[in-house]
Amino acid sequence: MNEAQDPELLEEFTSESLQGLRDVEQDLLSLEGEGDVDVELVNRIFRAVHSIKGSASFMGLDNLVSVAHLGETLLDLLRSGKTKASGALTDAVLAGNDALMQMLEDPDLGANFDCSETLEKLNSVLSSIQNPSGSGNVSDGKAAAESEAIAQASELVKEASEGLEPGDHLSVVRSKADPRFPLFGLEVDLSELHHNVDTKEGVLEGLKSVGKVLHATIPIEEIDKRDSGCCVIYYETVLDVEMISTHFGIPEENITAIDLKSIPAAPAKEDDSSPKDSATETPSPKQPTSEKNEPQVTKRPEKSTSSSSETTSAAKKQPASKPSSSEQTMRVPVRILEELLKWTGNMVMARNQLMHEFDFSESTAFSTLSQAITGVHETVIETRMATTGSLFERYRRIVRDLARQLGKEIAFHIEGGDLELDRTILEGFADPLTHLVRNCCDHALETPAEREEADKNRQGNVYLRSYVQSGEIILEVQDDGRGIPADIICRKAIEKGILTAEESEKLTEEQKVMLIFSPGFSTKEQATSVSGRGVGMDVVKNNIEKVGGTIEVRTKMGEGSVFAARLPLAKALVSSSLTAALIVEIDGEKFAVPETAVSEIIRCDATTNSHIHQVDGREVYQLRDQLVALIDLRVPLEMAELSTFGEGNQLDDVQPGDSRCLVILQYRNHLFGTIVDNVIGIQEIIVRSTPRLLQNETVFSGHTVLGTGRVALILDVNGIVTKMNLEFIEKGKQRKEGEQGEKRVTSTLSSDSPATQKMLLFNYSENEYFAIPLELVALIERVSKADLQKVGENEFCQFKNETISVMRLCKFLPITPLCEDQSEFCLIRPAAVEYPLGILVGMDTSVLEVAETFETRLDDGHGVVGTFMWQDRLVMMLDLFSVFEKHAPEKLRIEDNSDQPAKILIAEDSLFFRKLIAQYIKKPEWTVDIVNDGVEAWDALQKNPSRYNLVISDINMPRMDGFELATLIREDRRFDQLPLIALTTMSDDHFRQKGLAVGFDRYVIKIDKREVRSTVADCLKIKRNR
Amino acid sequence: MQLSTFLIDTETFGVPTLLVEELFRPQPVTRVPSADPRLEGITNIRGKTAVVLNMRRCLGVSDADESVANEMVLMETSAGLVEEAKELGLEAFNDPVILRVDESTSICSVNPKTIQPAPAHVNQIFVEGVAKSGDRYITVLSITSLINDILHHSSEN
Repeated sequence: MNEAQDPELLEEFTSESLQGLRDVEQDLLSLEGEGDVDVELVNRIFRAVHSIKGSASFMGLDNLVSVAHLGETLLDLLRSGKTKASGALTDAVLAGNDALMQMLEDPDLGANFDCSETLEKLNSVLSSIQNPSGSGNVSDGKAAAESEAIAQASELVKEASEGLEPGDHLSVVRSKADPRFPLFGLEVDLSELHHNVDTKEGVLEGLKSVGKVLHATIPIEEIDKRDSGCCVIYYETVLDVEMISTHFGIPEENITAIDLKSIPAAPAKEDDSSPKDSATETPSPKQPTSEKNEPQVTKRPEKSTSSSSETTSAAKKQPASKPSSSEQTMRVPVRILEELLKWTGNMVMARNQLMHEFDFSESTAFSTLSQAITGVHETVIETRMATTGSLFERYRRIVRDLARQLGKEIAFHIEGGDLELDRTILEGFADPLTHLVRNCCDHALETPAEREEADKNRQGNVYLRSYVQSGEIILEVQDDGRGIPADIICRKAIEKGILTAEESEKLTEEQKVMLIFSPGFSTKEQATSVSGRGVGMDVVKNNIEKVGGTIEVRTKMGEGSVFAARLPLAKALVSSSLTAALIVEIDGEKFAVPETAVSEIIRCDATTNSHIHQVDGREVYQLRDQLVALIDLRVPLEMAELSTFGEGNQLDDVQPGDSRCLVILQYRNHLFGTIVDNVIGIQEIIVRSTPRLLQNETVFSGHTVLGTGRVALILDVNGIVTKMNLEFIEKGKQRKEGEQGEKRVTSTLSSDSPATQKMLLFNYSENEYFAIPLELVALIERVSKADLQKVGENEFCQFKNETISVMRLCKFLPITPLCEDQSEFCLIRPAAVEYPLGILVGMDTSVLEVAETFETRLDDGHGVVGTFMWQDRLVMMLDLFSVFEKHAPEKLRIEDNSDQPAKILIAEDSLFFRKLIAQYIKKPEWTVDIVNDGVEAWDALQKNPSRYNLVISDINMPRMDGFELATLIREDRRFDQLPLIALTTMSDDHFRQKGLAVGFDRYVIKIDKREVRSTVADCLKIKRNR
Repeated sequence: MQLSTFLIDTETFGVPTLLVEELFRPQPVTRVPSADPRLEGITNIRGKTAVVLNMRRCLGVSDADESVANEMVLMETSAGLVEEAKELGLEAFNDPVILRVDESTSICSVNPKTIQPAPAHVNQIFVEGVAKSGDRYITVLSITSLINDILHHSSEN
């Protein structure tokens, strides 16, 4: 049995067949999805299985043959239209496919496999199709077998010279052939043959006169007797192809030279009971008719199988079929490709260096060369890259099978599958993702019934997604299932001793969910056959970390979860691949920053400097509507630091033409900035991995060689963030979790919680803390005791050519004075105060977001508007303006002359501002009614239309906003005389136009007390002219 | 066995010639201040990226003046070792490494059997032994041990 055991041949066979079977699987899955059977697709599947059967039969692999044969039969029925693609049929063929793959992967090639189950499955589907059909079937089956025999014959001739698919014919031929003479296979159409032959003797005679007819696929005697149909004649002759062709009228394409040596001497399997053999070897009277019924086999060997498509009704339109994914492939050791990649990478770098050294703009030869170099490099990279889509596609089958198995309906989606990364890295993700997908189908997604009950679509969804963000590649598995219950997880973890109850108190929701990655964790008591017991998630985490990635999970109860695996781009790309990077210079050294991490580049000039402020001694940049932290990259790079701490901004000395630039970098969803000495530009660089000796430098993700020949290190934003301990605050969250502050704040999967207020927290003496709205703060600076100068009762301080009046809170509020020994303070410069003023406070300052629930019992009328608890401290909220007034009454006293009694209605949803405004317009003659939103305001007006002399309204309110309220009021004639003032925070300024259009008389900034009071006073005086 | 020798400060050191690929004049090095101080930085030599070890720093000698001449010694990688080297049990690092030395001096032949082990009070991890050539003593270094030490230190941090 065993020339067939030639190991190289076996290898070829197994790897080619496996590739073919994988394609079959994909094709089968897409077959299921379509309405009409795509005939071309089925043909492709058929050919693949057929070809495997042939080779297997040659190799003597019975099990493979039997399974393949049944599969083939089913497929044939499908392609000839005799049955439809049902779930059962696809199941059976998929099962057969699986069995074939398993056997191919087995070292014994399935010799010892028990295929009975698979064969059962296939057989039962087969008989259910065949039995109802009745008599027509037997001959149809035979006819199908016949056409297949002929198809194979043609294929034989084509393949014969490659020695890949011999069959019984060839072995007969071999046994008869004389090695001295050239051997040909002649594919002939008998009807044409007779026409063309000159002699009257008949074809056979003619052939025999100049050579020897060894064998044919129809009985040799029949060649002359039949005048239609096709066959292959195996012919030995000294004539060459051209002569044979002219003499016998056989087109040259149909004449194939056969190399005897390439025909392996396989034992003919005459005793096999496969229908094909019996059909050819025992011609029965039925044959001629069935042969006649077959339309012609095409002459071109390559297209032999289109005969089968013609047995189906020619009228059937071929829907556009996807191109077969199995192109010609070749096996090459990976090592060679890596060598190649290294050389091409060097070529690219050298080319870049040349371009830097010389001017080649005139040389066409150079540009051709340059293009060729880029082309070669990119092509080689392709060999090492694979798309995420190619990995994701594998899960389609898994999801389908699981859905069927579990009785769930699951739709599978791929997003962003075009992303390319290094093949081996991608493989590293295969197992973890498989586990996540299985878990998802098993645990996360509910049954259709459960989903309906929860008001969801019956069909659950699984999304596999990949994208790039700030220098990282992210692979996500998302579902719209149950979500992960953090508290149950936490409880389980405590039960399993993974952590203690006290430790669990300190965890956030997210951290609790992340507990699923702890070793030994599993929430299902029974291991399901699908996802197993507790070995899962921690292995997933480890595998992902092994390739250099991290994993995180976000979940929302009832809505679903997202598992995201992140991998730094430099690790995911093939070494030597090209990527775009920004080249910057710091202290004479050049660095590369991946383009995906760069958000913006801003040239440094005086305007830039004016946008730089100081918070807690550190620089921040005002980027449109947010404050972005400015860091000095010299710190993580351990280069000599700029020291401007306490001495103003680093850009204070900026001149026109300064080459410095501010680069805004992106880390996940956050931004931070840095100032570099120079921006060289964006270049395509070859990424090379960090040398082993430098691998612990986490701020670098690799290196490259620039056009100058110098090495430039590639910066890794993640590494920088970690090394600098930058903590980005999510909206709505506190920096320190788990303490009292957290109860005040909601953190959700989505975005902002509306009712929070940004406050600046500061201390005065040791333990007394105060807060003011951040909007009231223009600047915070550090001052030392030496900077303060006393002039009589007042204190002043010089700052950037300005003299600032310094105010100590203890003078106006009953609080502990600042410590005498204290040498350093912070000075808060308030916004919306025209007078240069600074409030002296302690050093402990920070920014926080608080929900608006504060106590107001301490409202003492002296300037403390309310209090709240913050990390076990009592924080007092100040009304700065009342304090200011006391400090410099002559400068800040609000003048107003109206003594008329008036009733004012205020609509404002923010508790803080309600209090504030109320304070601002506190006057004995004025009665103030305050409501929460537009609806309440409107109700109040309706109840008592003539009560109010003035309405002040916020814009952003729930239920009904300011604009709507204004529109309503203006539409009602009763309120024609009623003045309307709109309250706004500073950023709402662009609403001004709209406000005036809908009918507000005036627009006022909430925090500016003087403006508020004077506007109110004005409005009360004027008579509205409608 | 042949030793390639070089001067660092006033002392002569040597490494097996089979482990040396090339000697050349100093070329620009990109500094990496955050790495181990003994690592000067990295540089590109004909398409290969090599890490530069400053031998003066490795041996605890103060940095030389900028103006003082120096040379670079490119060490072989393990892939580039010849049979003979492997037979002798010589080891090289996987990636290219360059040593910055003050001056390279002659190649000496020594009998391996006459190489004495490092003296008891010489504590450096990477001193393999002391060889005598003529009336000179050459301190034989093991660069792989030096590299391992650096790797060890950086992983600790």
